[in-house]
Amino acid sequence: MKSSILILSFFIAGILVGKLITIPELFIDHDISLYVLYFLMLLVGIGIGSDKNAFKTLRSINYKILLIPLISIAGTFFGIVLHQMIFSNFSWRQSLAVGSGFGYYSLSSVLLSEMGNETLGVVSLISNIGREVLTLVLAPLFVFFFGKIAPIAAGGATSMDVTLPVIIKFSGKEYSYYAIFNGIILTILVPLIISLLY
Amino acid sequence: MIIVLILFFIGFSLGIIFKTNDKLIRISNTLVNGSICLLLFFLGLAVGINEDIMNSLPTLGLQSILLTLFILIGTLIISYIAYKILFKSNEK
Repeated sequence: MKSSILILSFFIAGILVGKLITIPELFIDHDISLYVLYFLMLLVGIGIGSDKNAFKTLRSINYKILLIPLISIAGTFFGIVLHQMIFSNFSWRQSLAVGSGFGYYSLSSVLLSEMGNETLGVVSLISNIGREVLTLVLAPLFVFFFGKIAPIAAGGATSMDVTLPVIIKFSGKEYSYYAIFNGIILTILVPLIISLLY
Repeated sequence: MIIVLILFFIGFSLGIIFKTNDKLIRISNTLVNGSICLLLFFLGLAVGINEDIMNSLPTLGLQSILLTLFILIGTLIISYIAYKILFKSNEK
């Protein structure tokens, strides 16, 4: 929660600077942010590769743990299909790209603003922050009405860190491995699916 | 955008190799936060100088949240079904 406020404040600071100050072309040069993105991807890879929890969860593996990310992905895409049947604000490709952020708003928004366009980056930022915040706040209701897998699937990539405490609290400690495994798999899939789409 | 994926997997391999080097991992995590903040500042900048996006920001925000609500409904429905079929029988 603290980090999402920090990140949002940088985004808002950027908007204010862009709006209020006339900045020289040099600073809005696309190449700079593209190289920062490349650097970031390398670091994100290091972060996941060195994650000690990843290997701990692999030891407790059974076929059911493999199903959790599938449930989360299928649910996300099912929701997008429902959305596209009723609304046409976004194209299929755009909605799929935003949904494939799986709550990992920082990475998905910067990837999409570099690869797709800035508008899609903003949509991804708002939509995926919304996914994280709503899961955090509504987790007890999700468990009560939809069972113990629900907050894990809803949390998506955030189920390994930000939403993990509420998942453990309301689904139970025995679901923590499911949540961490789900988060790791979806975190890896975010850059994969988004670069396949754009 | 194949470069993005290649870099990601190079990083992934480096992460596995240098897993026990806590100092390196800590520096890497700090740099992740720094570069994410920088990139979101750039995204904000691009939005701020773009009149079209600025004007449509309220609508865009609502449309984004609407998509989120559908995604959440989708995940809740699928996890309800999966829980009933696969998981509930496990519990005492």
